[in-house]
Amino acid sequence: VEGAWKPQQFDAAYIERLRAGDNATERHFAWYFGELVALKLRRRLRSRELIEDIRQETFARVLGALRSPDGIRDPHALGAFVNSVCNNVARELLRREGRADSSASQDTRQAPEPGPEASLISKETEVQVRRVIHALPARDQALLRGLFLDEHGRDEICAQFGVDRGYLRVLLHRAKNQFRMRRVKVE
Amino acid sequence: MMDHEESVRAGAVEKYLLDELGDDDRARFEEHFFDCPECAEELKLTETFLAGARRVVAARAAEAPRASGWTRHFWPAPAGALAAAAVLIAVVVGHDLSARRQLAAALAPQPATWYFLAVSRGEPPVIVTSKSKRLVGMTLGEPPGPPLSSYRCEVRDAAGRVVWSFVVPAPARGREIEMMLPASELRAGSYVVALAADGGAEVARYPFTVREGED
Repeated sequence: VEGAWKPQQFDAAYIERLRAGDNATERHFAWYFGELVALKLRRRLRSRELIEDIRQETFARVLGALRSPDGIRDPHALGAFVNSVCNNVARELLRREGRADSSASQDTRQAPEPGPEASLISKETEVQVRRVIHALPARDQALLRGLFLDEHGRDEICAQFGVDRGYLRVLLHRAKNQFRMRRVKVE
Repeated sequence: MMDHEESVRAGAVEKYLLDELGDDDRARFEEHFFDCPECAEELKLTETFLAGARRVVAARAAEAPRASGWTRHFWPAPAGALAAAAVLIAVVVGHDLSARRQLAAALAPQPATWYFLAVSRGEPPVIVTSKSKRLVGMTLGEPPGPPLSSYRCEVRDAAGRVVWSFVVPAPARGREIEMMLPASELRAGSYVVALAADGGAEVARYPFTVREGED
């Protein structure tokens, strides 16, 4: 989950280096898109092993396609291509695993326990998040507790606190911005 | 594919991570953020915050296990009661700065007496309030009829005026509804807690009497 995440633009030279097997570019590619693929898959899957399998297979296929004679050359199409390959790989692997819903859209994201991403948070990040949460009004803190711990649905939690789902999103947006400011200060 | 402006306007990052996008919009946003460095960065940051928040909340919950026996008279209260109390106290004290200080004080560890309220025609329980006890805890006996997903809870005084009205989620199977009320708002007299289906008919009444005691 963590890492020195910076916005990335891809150009024709980047594609050429990937095609040529440049180690540093391959590592960068695996890091940048690995984060995105994992983030996307975590919305639907809880098995870290399965997520890793899909990620590895996606990279193998994308790099293979890039190096084929008729592989993609447009750097602006790289992201969409990775996403599309990831979708295909996920569908195939899940079908092979015998899951009825091969799109995996019905996986257990609503489970109250921490997701597979939670264990990847550093102690320093946890401290920053704790400070952000402690600085929130008491009601918002209680709302977050309800959101993450309560066994009831979000609509019930919202009704209990007299807010709507839009308020939850605004709360998350505000808290995230506070978190960003703390990280910038640390960096 | 969703464009960046649409993504920002729709709050797609937060909706995506809160699982609030439909299948089509989710697929369109995924196509977009694989090609959009700004949205990719925003997603990563938000997911990191959410993951950290889950861990912080879970750790705090683990540090404050559900109390039993006499210790349940002290904070932390049961999760449902804590949430209800937070709402009630927030309503009572408002949102200005001094009120927030009061709210912080109200949420600090403090003694509270707990009472069991039953659906009964007998003598109602007497709740004794005092200045040193800012909160009164109440456990409501199981309401009759089939369990509902949530209840509208009204506290009414002897004149039938609604003192508080709020929604409480149904307790887990075999558990009772628990809540905490700010004692300073309860004057001496007769009251009733009325439970109703949210937006529907009343299902139970729990009478109680408040008497002001000495510290």
